[in-house]
Amino acid sequence: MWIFLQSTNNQGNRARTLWYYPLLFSFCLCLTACSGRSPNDPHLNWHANDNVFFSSFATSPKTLDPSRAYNDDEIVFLAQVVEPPLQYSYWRKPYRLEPQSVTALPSVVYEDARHQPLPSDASPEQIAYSVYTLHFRGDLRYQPHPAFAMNPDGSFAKENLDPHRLATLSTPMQMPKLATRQVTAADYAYAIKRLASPSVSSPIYSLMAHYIVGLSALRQTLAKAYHPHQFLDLRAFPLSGVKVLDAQTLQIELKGNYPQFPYWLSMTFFVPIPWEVDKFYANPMVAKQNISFDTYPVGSGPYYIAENNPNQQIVLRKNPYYHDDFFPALPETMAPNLRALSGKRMPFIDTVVYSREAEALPRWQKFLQGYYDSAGVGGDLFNQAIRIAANGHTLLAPELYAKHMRLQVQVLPSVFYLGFNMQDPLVGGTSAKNRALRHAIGILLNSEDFNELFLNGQGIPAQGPIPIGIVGAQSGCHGMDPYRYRCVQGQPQRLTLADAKAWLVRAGYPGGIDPKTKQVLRLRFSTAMGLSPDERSTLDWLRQQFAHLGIALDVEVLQPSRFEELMRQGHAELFFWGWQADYPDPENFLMLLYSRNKMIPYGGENTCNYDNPRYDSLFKQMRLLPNNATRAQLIDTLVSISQQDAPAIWLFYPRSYRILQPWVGPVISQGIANNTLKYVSLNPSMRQTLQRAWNKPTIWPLLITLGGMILAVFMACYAYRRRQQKRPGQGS
Amino acid sequence: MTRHILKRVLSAIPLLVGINLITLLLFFAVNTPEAIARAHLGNKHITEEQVHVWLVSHDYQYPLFYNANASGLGAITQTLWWHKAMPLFIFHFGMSDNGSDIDTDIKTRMWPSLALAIPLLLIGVITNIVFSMFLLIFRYQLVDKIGNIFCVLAMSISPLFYIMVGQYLVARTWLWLPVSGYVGGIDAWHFVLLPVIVGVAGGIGVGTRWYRSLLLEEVHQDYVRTARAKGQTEWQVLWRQVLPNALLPILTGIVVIIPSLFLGSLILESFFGIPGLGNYMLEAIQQQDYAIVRSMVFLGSVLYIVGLILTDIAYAIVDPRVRLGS
Repeated sequence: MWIFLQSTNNQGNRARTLWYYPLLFSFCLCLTACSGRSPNDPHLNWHANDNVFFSSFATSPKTLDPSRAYNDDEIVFLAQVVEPPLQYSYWRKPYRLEPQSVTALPSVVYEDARHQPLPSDASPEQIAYSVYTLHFRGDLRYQPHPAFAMNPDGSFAKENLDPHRLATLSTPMQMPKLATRQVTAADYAYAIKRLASPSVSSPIYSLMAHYIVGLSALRQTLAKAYHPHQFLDLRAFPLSGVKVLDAQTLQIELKGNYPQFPYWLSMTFFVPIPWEVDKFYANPMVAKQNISFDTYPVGSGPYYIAENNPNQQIVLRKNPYYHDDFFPALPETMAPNLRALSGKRMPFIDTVVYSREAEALPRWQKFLQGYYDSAGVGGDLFNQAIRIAANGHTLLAPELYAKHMRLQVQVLPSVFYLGFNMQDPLVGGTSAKNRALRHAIGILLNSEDFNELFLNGQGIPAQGPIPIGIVGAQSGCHGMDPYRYRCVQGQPQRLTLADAKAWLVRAGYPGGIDPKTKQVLRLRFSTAMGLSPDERSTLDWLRQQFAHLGIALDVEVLQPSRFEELMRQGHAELFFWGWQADYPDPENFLMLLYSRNKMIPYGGENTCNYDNPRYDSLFKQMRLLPNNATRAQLIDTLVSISQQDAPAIWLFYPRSYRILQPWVGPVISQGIANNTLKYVSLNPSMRQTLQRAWNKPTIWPLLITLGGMILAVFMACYAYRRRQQKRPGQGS
Repeated sequence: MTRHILKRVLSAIPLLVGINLITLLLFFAVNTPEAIARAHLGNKHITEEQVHVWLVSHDYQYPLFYNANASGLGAITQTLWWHKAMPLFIFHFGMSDNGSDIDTDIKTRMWPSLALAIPLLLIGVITNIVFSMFLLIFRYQLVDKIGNIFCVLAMSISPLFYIMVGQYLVARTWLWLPVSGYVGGIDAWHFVLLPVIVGVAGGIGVGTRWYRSLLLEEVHQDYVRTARAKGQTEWQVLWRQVLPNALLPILTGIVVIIPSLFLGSLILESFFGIPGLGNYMLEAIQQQDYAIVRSMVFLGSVLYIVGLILTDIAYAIVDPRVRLGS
């Protein structure tokens, strides 16, 4: 184009040059039209018939550093790139762990205080240490990366240290020399040491320091050795609880018995970290370009991050060195199209493009146009996409169903509740009077109404702390909260307002009047909600519910940081709170009421500050047991105690909704696993055909607009001429 | 002129110090450093020790403005304000609380902002001037009155309405352009065209009324009557006589915002998915990233001051009667 304009300028024919610009613009438009794309296609760098999966993300990931990333919007990318030792079975329910980068599930040996081995059926009191041994696969190789291109003396290839190239680097893949190497057990050990590094600030450090032998001591050592902006080679610092037995074998020693530890081994905190990459990213010139573990984590997973522009798009490409990984063999009971994938090599998709879409409406519109292969549904869009059938089942809206889209519904491993501060003199404590008040509130707080009014039916009314799909969860009248529901024809039915009033009388507040002050009972509800109209209506609804019992609810709307501070100081009375589990074990929900996890004084997850020695004793027994009848009985008892004491009113278990385009292959809903992209397949040619059919632009409004503009100009010219032709004195 | 510019630059320093103090005060009035640390670390399994380590590693361990534990100058220099705000005066923005280099972020994000803001400014100004001159030709007549009513109506409608209607009609119903997104380089026009159209349409009411009132003041001047008496057409009078004489206030309005174009548009960038600096600021506020907020507020203030200085210079160039520093 530049040459074209130069040549016209050289001719010096200015009048002719002026005509070239509209011609050039028309030429550009023709090029767009001739490319076979619809003019509204946002994926200009890819074609619909490429084996590329298009999706979106609303919030930029804060970090993709495996030692730090903890949020869902971070793990969704990271889990495709790195490989923890274990993973969740793609199809088995309840969720079950299986090997991923290890050859078999880790073996555990229990030891007494003198490090003498104990039999596997040793009582929990005898167990002083648990030693897990992991044997890794020999065919794990990292993605290509410049940090692996090293000279024999251990220095980086000089081509990869060129300051001019580093100054303009936007992705590590732009470096001239890329290489790979085998994953070793030492890399896993390095990753565990990294949890203690003061430069990393891993969110699970304190939890792991409680269990992994020597991690706290390592933290002290590293804190002394740490200097900002300098590479801290963790290989030089031993960690007594982690031993590399050989290139493929690792041993992790834990204090006491922690049967939930294998769940942590399926999380991205325990993926291998190559020291070379840590060193490469410590180069100030590389860090200056925002290239670090936060943006370009390195792993041996099915994909690697080819581009990370969190403001615009994140692109994953297939890792050329990914080991053999085949779609699992499925039982006969599963759909035939799923079983047809069994034994096929994964991943199926070559490239994944995640585009940043901060606003829900544009994201949804692009999905309807076929430019995203899947879309989450929530908030205001729910009514456009989902219909609730008379029997309570969720269905796709007819227009989406007509397009052969598919709906995936999944109960998340989460629970949402109204908490009482058990240290509060009015609503807390274990006295029968205050317990009765909590039961009265539990009845009047109608989960079903809340769900229908404010969640569009996206939640499942809860009976206890354990969500559906987790071991220990009950349905129907089993596990029903008898203080809020009664069993009618095999189904829980909410108790009435009269029952709530009866509890209120027992609490000593007949009609909601405090007999001491002769005034209406006033309770304080603290929240960080209330900024949006929806949230304000939720709070209004809550006030009305309490008003039915004659209780005045003072709503205290706070800034999120102030609200959290209030909670940490134990000054809240009533509050909403939610918990998303780290792993699908009832222990991860029942620990919400364990006294050792109280927010005051431990800063833990027991936000209600509930303290019941009997609950604690049963909980400690339950968490050490495998899933058997004894454990099931203990879980039932713990749930019953939580219902009886009612330190929290369990409101609902959230559900997630995702819609898939017809060209996306068969998938299984997964609520806990994150590395599911490798199981997804596509039919790109179908996508191309349907995208074209769905995106034929409407031309007539353009013609009318242009015609209208020409007409307006013509009329303006006409009016102007008429005005000019008027004699002086006839004008204004 | 040099003396005047130097005076303006020097007077900007206390102004910027004040802005920094107010930013710090406002930010930490609603947010403590501990809350920022917890927001970045997450709320699960976090101990006081981890919060403390984060605060130290991110230089948040100091008191806000005065360190009673330090002696001498240390009482001022060992403070959050000194550590966080003073490097800004040498344009050292440092690292965001998330660990990314703010300088690199700004350099990367200013191009999408400019790709949107420059055409929006140029097309917006030209459209508004042409439309206001058109109304001026028919001043006090029916066309002018209808035009004014249209402008007042256009001013009264929320910018979000233009965005939603633009996306609904152009991108969703007629399928002419992408709903949102961005690609760098020459293909950026695909994504910038719709926000520019929406931005111009949204600003036409205010812009036309503003330029019309500026031009109207000039229309009644003696030199305009003289030009008419010499036989110039109304269009010639407006373009050759009125517009050049009305340039002074027009320049005031335009030049002052030119440096701020780098900062982008908060709403348009957010709704159309353009990864510019407007979006950057919005996300920083949402993520409670004080490092980015203070850098962007500082940069915005500096650019605004530069805009004001440029306006002074433009005054002197356009109007020979204005002499800076005299």
